[in-house]
Amino acid sequence: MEVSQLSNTSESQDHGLYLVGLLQCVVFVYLITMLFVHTQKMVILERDYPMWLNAKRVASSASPSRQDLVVIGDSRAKAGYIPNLADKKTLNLALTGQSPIEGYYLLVNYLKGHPAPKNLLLSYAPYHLTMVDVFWEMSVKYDFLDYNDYREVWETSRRLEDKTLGEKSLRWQYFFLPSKYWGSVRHAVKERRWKTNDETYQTVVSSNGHFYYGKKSGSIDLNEEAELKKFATSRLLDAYLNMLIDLAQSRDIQVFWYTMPFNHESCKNLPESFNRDYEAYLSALESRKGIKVIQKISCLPNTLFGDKSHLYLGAGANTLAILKAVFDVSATSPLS
Amino acid sequence: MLFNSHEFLFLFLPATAAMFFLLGGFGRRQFSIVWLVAASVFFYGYWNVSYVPLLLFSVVFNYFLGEALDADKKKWMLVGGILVNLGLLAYFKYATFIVENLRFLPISDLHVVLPIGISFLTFEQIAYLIDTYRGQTPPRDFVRYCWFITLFPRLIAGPIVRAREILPQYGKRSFGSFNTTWFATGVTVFVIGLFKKVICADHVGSYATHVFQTAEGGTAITFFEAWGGALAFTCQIYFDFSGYSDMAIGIARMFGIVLPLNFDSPYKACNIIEFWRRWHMTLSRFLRDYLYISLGGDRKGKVRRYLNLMITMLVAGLWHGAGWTFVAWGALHGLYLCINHAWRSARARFGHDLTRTTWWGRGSGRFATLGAVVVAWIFFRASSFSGALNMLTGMAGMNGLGGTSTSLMGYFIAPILLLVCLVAPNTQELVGQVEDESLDQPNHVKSEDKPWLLWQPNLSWSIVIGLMFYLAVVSLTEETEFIYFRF
Repeated sequence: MEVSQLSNTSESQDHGLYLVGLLQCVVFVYLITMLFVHTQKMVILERDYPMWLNAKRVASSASPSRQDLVVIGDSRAKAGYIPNLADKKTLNLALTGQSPIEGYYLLVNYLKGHPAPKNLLLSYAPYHLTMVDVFWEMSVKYDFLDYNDYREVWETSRRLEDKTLGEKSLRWQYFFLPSKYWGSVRHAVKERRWKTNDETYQTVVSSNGHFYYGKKSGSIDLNEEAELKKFATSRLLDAYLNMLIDLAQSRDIQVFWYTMPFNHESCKNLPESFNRDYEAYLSALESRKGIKVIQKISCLPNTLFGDKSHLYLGAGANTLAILKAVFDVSATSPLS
Repeated sequence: MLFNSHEFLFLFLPATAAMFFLLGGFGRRQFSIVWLVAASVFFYGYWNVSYVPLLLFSVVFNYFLGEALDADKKKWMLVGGILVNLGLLAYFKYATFIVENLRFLPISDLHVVLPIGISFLTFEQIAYLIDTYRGQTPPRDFVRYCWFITLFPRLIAGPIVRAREILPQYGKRSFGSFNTTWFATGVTVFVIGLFKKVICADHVGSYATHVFQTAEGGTAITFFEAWGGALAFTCQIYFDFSGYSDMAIGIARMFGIVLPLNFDSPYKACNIIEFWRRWHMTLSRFLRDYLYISLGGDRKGKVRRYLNLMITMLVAGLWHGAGWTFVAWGALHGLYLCINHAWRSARARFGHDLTRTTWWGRGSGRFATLGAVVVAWIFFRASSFSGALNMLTGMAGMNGLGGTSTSLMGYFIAPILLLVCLVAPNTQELVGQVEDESLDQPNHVKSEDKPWLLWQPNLSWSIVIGLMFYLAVVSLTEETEFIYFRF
């Protein structure tokens, strides 16, 4: 009886130690992993991260030099406007998946350390006014917004009863859950991201924020708008676009709107109602806010695009068209 | 709520276990069992709260019918009870299928959402009624019956248990009080199951899905693609369902409950009869004990035996899903079993000793069995006969040999996982199953073949299991349902 009891006690102790060891192992690996993913994002995250990091650093730096033109928009603007082609001081702060939410906070931060630029060009693809596609995967995951900004976004979203953002819990998930980074870690090893991300960062620094996404000599694939049935703005995105314009105008910045061109294939498949509703939205914005809309939806040959939605061979001519439109207008503007 | 979700792993399971042991520790076994019932109902309702009344109705109806059968064993009551259970199953699972196939019925667009786990619940409660009628059910009260039926580790997808296996465990010392040994082995079995599901099944499953969807779309599938897809699904369904069963067994063991095994390395089977003794063992024994034997089994001559086998396997196919491809899968397995039995009879007639085997006999048997099982899985996985035939055409090499770059994963991962199934010890051999005399089927204890490979409660194993858990949890980028949740 006593031997059996001793054996049971010893077995129970072994199993207890085993459970403690298991728990310690999990906690240790968890802490190491989280420390790694939060401090080594350049090593593991996708190529968009260095661009977002660069934009954040530029916006939060300080410089007395005044820009003639700052571009804020999404990836189509990042590929479609080449600052180094201009004979004026211009800067491209557009980003992959950027919506007016990030655009607003980018300008807020930029204005803290820089003189207000003379002109601001806003360029969001129509679908980036209808949905938030990478708010969590980029804005939050890349630590682009600080906690107060994030809380303000969430409160605005709640006030407007807008469901675009989805679940609030996603933020803490990006902070605490290693699973949110697992895919990135796997791809990082496969793609040697520590190397490619460094190259991307150097590219956007030397190009003043320009970046080519696709480099094909043409694309007949359909862009996102061609897949959408209708144009319906999100209340949250509309609110942030208005805040962005108000902020710029409060600092006497001339605001322009430029919709980057679509490839012909996408134009052919774009529902007529989409085009009409989008133009009506821009016209209302123009008359309400007094901004200058340079270009609504326009079409260019498929051969000028590096992929379904980003300009490649056509980016240079597009840049010159923007410069001509902005500076011709701004030369006659009372604000200039 | 899925076992492979953050809510389950980090909220539901720890909270349920903590409260259970707290109540049990204060000697309140009745409270701890009520707590477990409440937690199980919450677990079920988390998926879709509107089906909780159905679960409760089913439990209450069968309990009181069981009481009535206990008092007065009237056959009409048993038949009525079985019909009510089958009627619910028929409505929720087969109504849409029936309406689709009987076009003369004046009903269309019947969209019935399948309550999760109804197939398993129905079989368990039918078994309970039959066992009660036969006088084989131990004493119970309403709370204990609720506990037996709703026990969350196995509520959704089995193992299919009998009242006489579970109810007696309530009175045992292991139940209700925290036992380090049971908890540690339970955690280990659970983690192995989670790893099998998240790392093995989900990864190889994405490849199987790609190939089968391509086949459904009518694109010609090449030889290597088709075999890659077929083997990928063969691995996916094994790791998915056996992973789920391991998790269920592991969780139950943490709570001091022993569940019967559901898998015993089925792809190691040397013939199809053996396969069904190793695959989804609790379904096999249900079908054998409550259908095949009730139909007469092998007691009424050879023809009836083969007919009974076919009927049993057709029911098994239809139980898995309301679709003709599932019926075809069941029919194929029925045919395989008939051929296997006929082969055995022929060998016995020619004076062969069926108990003697050779290494090449076992090897070729294993190869043929696995091939037959893989072919049958095609019908199980395909959504239509055209998709299944497209896959089979590809497997026969009639669309060429080459593959695309996306099939590379299938070429390598599926065969590696299949090799693991064929060579490595299974979870119960690795960890060791707790013997319990209340279980109807034998438990497999630790294998003595490779002692260096067997789990021990030491530092090395705590690191291995800890890393497996961590890897599985970080891979939970999206919650994927278990294949058997649809049944």
